[in-house]
Amino acid sequence: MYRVILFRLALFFPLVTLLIWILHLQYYILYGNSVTVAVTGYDPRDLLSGHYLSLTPDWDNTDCTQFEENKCPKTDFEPRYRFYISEEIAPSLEKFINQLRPNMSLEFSYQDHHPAMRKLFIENMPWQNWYNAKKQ
Amino acid sequence: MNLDSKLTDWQKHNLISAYQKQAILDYEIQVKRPLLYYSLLFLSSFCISIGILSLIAANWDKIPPSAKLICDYIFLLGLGAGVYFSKKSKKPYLYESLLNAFALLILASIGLIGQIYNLPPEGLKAVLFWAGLTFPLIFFTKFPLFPGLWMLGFFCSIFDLLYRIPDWRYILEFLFENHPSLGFCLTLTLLLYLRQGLNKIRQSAILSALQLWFIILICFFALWLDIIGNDWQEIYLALTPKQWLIYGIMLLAFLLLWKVSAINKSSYGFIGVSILYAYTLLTNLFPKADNVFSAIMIIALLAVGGIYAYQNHKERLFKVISVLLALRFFGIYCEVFGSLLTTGIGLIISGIIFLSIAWYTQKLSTRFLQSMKGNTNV
Repeated sequence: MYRVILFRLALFFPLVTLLIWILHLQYYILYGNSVTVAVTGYDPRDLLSGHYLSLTPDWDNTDCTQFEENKCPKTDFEPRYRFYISEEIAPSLEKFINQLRPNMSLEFSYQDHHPAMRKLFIENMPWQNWYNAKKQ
Repeated sequence: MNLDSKLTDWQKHNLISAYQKQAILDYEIQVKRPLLYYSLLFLSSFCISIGILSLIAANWDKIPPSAKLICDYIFLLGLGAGVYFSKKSKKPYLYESLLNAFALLILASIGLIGQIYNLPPEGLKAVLFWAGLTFPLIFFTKFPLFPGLWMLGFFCSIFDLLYRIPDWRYILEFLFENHPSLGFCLTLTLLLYLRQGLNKIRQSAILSALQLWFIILICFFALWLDIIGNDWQEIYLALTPKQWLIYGIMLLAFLLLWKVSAINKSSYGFIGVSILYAYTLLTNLFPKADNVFSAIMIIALLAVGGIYAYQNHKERLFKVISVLLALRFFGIYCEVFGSLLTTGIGLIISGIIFLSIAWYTQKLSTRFLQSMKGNTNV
């Protein structure tokens, strides 16, 4: 009986942990303060890494007044972020970005010194809108 | 010859009676599995699975993230339920298959969550997280596949994590890049320690997986050292504090290994690792004789494997080891008399010597195999 209980716990443990993790991430995305950080390509010659855009915060062009004490909390953020782009769009999006060098920014949900990435903006519009406009 | 004709033949030679023949035939008909039915069942399940996967892959970007997460979680719950009920209904093969699928789906789910929430990757931390989540499950399996995969993921991710910490990175580079044979020996020693520790929990699947990794690693390391050679020449002749430190670590590890092995009685593993330690020390002291030492090291390791196979009546393993031993002797011959192979006479002499080695190895192997069978019968 003791072993059966342990087996049930072993099965439930990953399920419950994953559910808590998803809810925790979703909570941060939904209820954190919204901040926008300017970004550039992590390696400007090779923006795309697999299906992901590799981006790095550009603190010189970021509005630091949106943070506490008007200071950009650089250490709270990672030096490199990856943004998932679908396989079909990725090569042409990279081509547009390399040609036009637009301003890019990432919207984060920021709470308790914990940033969670929400959206990618290109020229202050959601990246899909910018991409569709350029495609036409 | 099919079963019916075989049984008729046995009946003719008075090995079985007519009644026994009929009983065997009846039993075989009863336990015979409908092969065509199972083949078609497998083929149709395979087609359906591939079809579902293709549909998902083709429309992946059109599926909203929330739908992806919900479907994934429902699938996880379903598999979890499958694992539970297959264990309850005592279907071991189904249970093990579902348990492996469940563990792999947990890893895939971590990847999916990372993709949906655009989480920045940090080396193999996701794999370490998976190892943490599935750790309790490895105690509920009877096959070594899942614990084996788990160990691979866990040790690689731990190595990756330590490599990211500057102090540990220095130590790991020192061990695995500058002095690989020391790193290899210490890794094997740690595996022996782990085996000693895990002996208490008496989980045969975990112990088998650990043993399998030990054998794979010792074979890999031995081949690596034999082919690449021990790259220790840089500190040869200079008894620097660094070299004393290396000798000190090796001696300590060796003594502790001896202690562990004495308790554990896993003498084959202990002897195997001891051979690698001895090889490392000798090549460090006499780097010019590296080729000789590496040949002796491989032959000694194969001999240990042969003794293990002989004592445990593992006939097939014994045959494989005999072939490998013969091949290594050929290798030694080629290394020493390689220039002979360029002339006609040399080729004839070499051919005769190769034949003699093959003949003698075969003779010895046959004698040992006969003796092994004799011991088994006794």
